[in-house]
Amino acid sequence: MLKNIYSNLLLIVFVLFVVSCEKDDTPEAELEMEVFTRATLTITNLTEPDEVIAPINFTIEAHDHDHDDDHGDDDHGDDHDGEHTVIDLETNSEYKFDMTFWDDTDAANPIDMTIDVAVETPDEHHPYYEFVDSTVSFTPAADDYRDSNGKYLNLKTIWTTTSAREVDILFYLIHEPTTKEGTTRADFGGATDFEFGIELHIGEHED
Amino acid sequence: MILLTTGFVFSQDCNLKFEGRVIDLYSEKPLQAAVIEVLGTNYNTITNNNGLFVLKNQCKNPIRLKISHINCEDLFATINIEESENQLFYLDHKIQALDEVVVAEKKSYSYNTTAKIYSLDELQKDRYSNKGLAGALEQISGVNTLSTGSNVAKPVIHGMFGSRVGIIYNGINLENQQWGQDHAPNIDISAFENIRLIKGASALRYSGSNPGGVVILESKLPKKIDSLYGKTIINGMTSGQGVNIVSSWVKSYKTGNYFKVQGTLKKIGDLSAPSYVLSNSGVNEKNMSFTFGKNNADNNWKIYFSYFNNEIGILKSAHVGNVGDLLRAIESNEPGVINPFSYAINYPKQKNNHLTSSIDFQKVFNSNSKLNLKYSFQKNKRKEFDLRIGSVRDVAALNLNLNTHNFNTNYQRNFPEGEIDSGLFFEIQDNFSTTGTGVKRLIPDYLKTRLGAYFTTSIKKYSSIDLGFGFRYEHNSNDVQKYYHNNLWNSENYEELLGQYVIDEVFNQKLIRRKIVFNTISFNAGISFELFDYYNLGIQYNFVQRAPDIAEMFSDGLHHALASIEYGNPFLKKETTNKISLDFDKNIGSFRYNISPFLIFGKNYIIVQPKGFEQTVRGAFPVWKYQPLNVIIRGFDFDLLYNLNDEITFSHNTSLVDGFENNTKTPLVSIPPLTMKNEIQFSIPNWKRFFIILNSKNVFQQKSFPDNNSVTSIFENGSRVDKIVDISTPPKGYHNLGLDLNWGPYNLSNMKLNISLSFDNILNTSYRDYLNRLRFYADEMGRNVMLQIKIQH
Repeated sequence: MLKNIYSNLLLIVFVLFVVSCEKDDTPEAELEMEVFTRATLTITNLTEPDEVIAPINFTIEAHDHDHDDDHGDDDHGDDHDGEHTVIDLETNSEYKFDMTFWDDTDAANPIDMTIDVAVETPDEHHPYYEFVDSTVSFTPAADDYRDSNGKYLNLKTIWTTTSAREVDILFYLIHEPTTKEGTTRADFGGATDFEFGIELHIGEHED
Repeated sequence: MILLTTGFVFSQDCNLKFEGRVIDLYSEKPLQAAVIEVLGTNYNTITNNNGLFVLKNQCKNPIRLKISHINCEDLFATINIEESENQLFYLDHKIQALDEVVVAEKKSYSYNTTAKIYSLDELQKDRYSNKGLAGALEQISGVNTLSTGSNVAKPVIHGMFGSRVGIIYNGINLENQQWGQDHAPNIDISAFENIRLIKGASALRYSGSNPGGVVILESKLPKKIDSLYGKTIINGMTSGQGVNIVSSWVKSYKTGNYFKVQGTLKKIGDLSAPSYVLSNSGVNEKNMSFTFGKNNADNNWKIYFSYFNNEIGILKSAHVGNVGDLLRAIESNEPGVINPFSYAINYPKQKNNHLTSSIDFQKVFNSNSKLNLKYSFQKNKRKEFDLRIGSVRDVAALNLNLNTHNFNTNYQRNFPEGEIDSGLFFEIQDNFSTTGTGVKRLIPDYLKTRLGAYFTTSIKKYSSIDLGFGFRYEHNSNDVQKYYHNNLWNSENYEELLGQYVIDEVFNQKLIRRKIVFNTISFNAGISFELFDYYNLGIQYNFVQRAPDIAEMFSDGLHHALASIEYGNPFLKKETTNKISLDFDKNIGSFRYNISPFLIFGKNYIIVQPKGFEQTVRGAFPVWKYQPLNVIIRGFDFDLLYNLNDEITFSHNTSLVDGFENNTKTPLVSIPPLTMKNEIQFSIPNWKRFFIILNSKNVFQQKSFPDNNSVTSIFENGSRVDKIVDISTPPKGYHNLGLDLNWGPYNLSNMKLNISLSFDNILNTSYRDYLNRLRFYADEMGRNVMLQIKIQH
């Protein structure tokens, strides 16, 4: 009797197996949303309006991680060197920096994410330029965005240069900062949504 | 509790009648609904309101009785009906919390293994009823907890966790452990009376792919009597100002029908470290289970249904944007976000749902053989919410579903010299993501089919030698459909190896469809024998093949709770482990101990390790990749129990594990450090309803760890400097002291009341734990005072 039960069970199992090992529906592709894929810094020379500076794009490759499968610590040298972008500026000049954020997932129709950040959730965001140098300074532009406390977001800024210098700057877009008061990145807390380095080369440049 | 039984005998030729009374010695009140079984027969009865019972038509002489009462230890008594007219039986049931963990149960529980079975008794289970499965199991030597913050915890056995540790509840293999490390088992321990643990893959009836071990949760079968009983536990705790209520009720009938219902409600707010609130660390949990069954003489059946639902806050400060944030978190002593206490669970958070239904049927052919059939269905759902902006602000970033149908059958047969158990199983599992998350799938959609068979046997040829043997074969077929981002596809050079599987291409993504088949076998063999009087030696060998999880092969994306990016390895082969373990124990007498060394060789042992950083749209993230390694894991567990006298019992356990990659001797990541636990239980003479347990846990610093550090550049004192992001160095060791005060049981009309007051981390020590993956962000919980009221009704 047992033999019978077992052979019947085996038959059931076999039938189930044959009929059910196919997955018929193709999964839908997931459209990635609310993604910043690019920040664009547009710089205008206010002192010499005729000078044209091409907008600088900061794109972040989605996948540039190490793909060695050994145990080497190949990433120890990763100090973000590749992310520095050199910007040539004149001495004793005024520039307007206009930072915008974009979603290029659909390359034909880039979405301006600046509105999401600066208009819809300005209180949750704190764009911040971190640098230490007395020869260059910036103030918010009159048309810069403000949060509900009237605090400027520093997305549209006026920069003033004095003497020739190379200035190393890190730009951050901080999400949910614990405070917007501070002088170093560590003061603001929160999570970094965007981070990249720029180097201002201030001096006499060939046009 | 103490039972006192008085008996009166009426002798009527062969038609003997025995009348008895069961009384609680403390209160001297009769005990209602105590069950009296005449051993060796099917005869049983229960006591009435006055504690009286009558045994009729007794022919056998002498008879042996088993007298049991809910939550009391069973009393066995032999009565010579013709001779005795009036007898007294004493059972001094001393409440002993430490016994069972230290010395495993001898009974094989049909697992047909000579491996040691560790068991948590009811007291220990209830004591940890608000801590979850991992917390309760941590009492056992060699068992640690891998956690993500304070509320997500998985058991680790001998350094192994996740898919390597099987969790079997009511005979069903819990199916959500393959979702990754930040996913706690969705199981409510309060729904089960027995929790047992076997270190190693020695329960091949249930599972063959768990080299770490198996946790088995089972419910007791109610007796065939008319009765209504149950238990309610109320826990209150200071940390998180939490409340946890568990209640279970069983209604049983003489006919063999029974109905059991159990529910748990848990609400905990933000927990507290010694010097700050752990913001967004609350939990809400709602569980419920029903069982309906019938026990007949030659067959029995059971329908089981359970629902588990929880919402878990993930420490707010653990939400980091990139490696710079991680560095700042590591360098800071305090979490980045400290808000006032709140019950609110904000983003980031997890929502889990787990539904189980099962039908069991058992046919008993005679007292020696039975056939079981079981069908079960599990539905797991998990959502993870992240800090997002725009239109997807309130949309889950991860939305996973896992449906599992399992059908299995087994046949057990007892022989005078042993037992055999064999069975077949078949399973279909459908894993899919609900689309619309706006985030690529962490785990691809797949359909998994598993089928196979097992055979286990135990042989007891000589009284002092036990042999156990088991074999299990499993065919594992996966139909996986995965989207690969073109960037990853190109950078990993997948075209060459996976190009043939591409079936579609949409939005810079390639859809591949691949069938992956694994055939695995597992077997174990063990012997346990009495070396000399009171001393036993067990030798156990396990050979385990485990098919890689789909997550290990294909996971892809941001692990929000872990602040990391995880990449699967689509070329993984099956993992093979060989484990040899010894158990040397003395398990009789007031001084008992157990030494269990083990050695594991792992081939293609799959490990997820930090491997570089990736620049994403959110910033740089550490990347964790699954890799096959040849490893050696070794160590030992040592347990000791010393009954100094009736009032004082001391227990100690030590566990040491060491794991490394065999070629380079590189230590493995997340191996538990040396841990020592000591407990002293003492009671006061003549005050038997009170006892104290003082416990101490010493966790040493893990000195053996791989270097997975990286470098990032930040501004410091006005200039850019390169800084090491030290995610490797384990935190310092710590010492935790705890105290439990227990009162009871007290009789309240028909109920029993137990009260306990427990202090965890009584010294309010600030510490971090190596096995907590959010250890970079905040200290562990500080002092926590818990009040537990337990009512047995």
